[in-house]
Amino acid sequence: MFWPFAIAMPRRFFIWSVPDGTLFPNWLNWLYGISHCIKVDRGAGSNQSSVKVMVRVLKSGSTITLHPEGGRTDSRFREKNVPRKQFGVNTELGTKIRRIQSKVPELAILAQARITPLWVDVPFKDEQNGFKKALWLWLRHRHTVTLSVRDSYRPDRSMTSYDRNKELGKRILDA
Amino acid sequence: MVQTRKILTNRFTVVQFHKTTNGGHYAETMARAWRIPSHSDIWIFMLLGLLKVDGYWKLWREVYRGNHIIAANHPTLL
Repeated sequence: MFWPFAIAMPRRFFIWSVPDGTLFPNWLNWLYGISHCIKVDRGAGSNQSSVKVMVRVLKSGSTITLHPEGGRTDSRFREKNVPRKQFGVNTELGTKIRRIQSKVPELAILAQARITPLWVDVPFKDEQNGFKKALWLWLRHRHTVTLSVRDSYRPDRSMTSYDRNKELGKRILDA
Repeated sequence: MVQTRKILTNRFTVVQFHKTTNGGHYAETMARAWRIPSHSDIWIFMLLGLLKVDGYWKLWREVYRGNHIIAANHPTLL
């Protein structure tokens, strides 16, 4: 999305991601750094070394993309040009999200970073659609994938971990 | 000529309007002033209308400022 800027200012605009440690085989470990990935072992209880790298990356002025849910979330299927409708959880836009169990707000506090909530809306995919049908709907019928960005915020230190995660989930939902 | 002047006037009006409504953020203001939606870009997906970013320049500004986490849901096509 930011690739021309990433060429001009790679430290700022070449955004880091946090894939699982199994993304590349061991002999391709050197690819993680080159492709701005921070390896995380999702099976392990804590990833102190990865957290240290993330804090260092954030403090150096870079951006990290994280998916704090620990699972996948889709919007429900709807026809083209139909706005997001309510289902499931009683939120402003009626979308649904898993419980946030990650340490993203804690990471932001450690690195004194801001968090920007973002909702990726893929309205043509749900459990009834297979990959081929979803791809067909997207390309042939010109469905739109929408990325909605909300204002950034700094997590509150005085809140409990549970409340901070709840707040993050709500902000992502309302984006 | 009249048309050009009219467009310029409109641009000026839009710039003045957005200076007061979006905190004077230059990139978004100019994009709107030149009738470019903030999500439009040169990318083919966006041109085809397959991908839209609501708040592109807002995100751009945050990324530019650095020390920043993007927290998103994780949909899938699979």
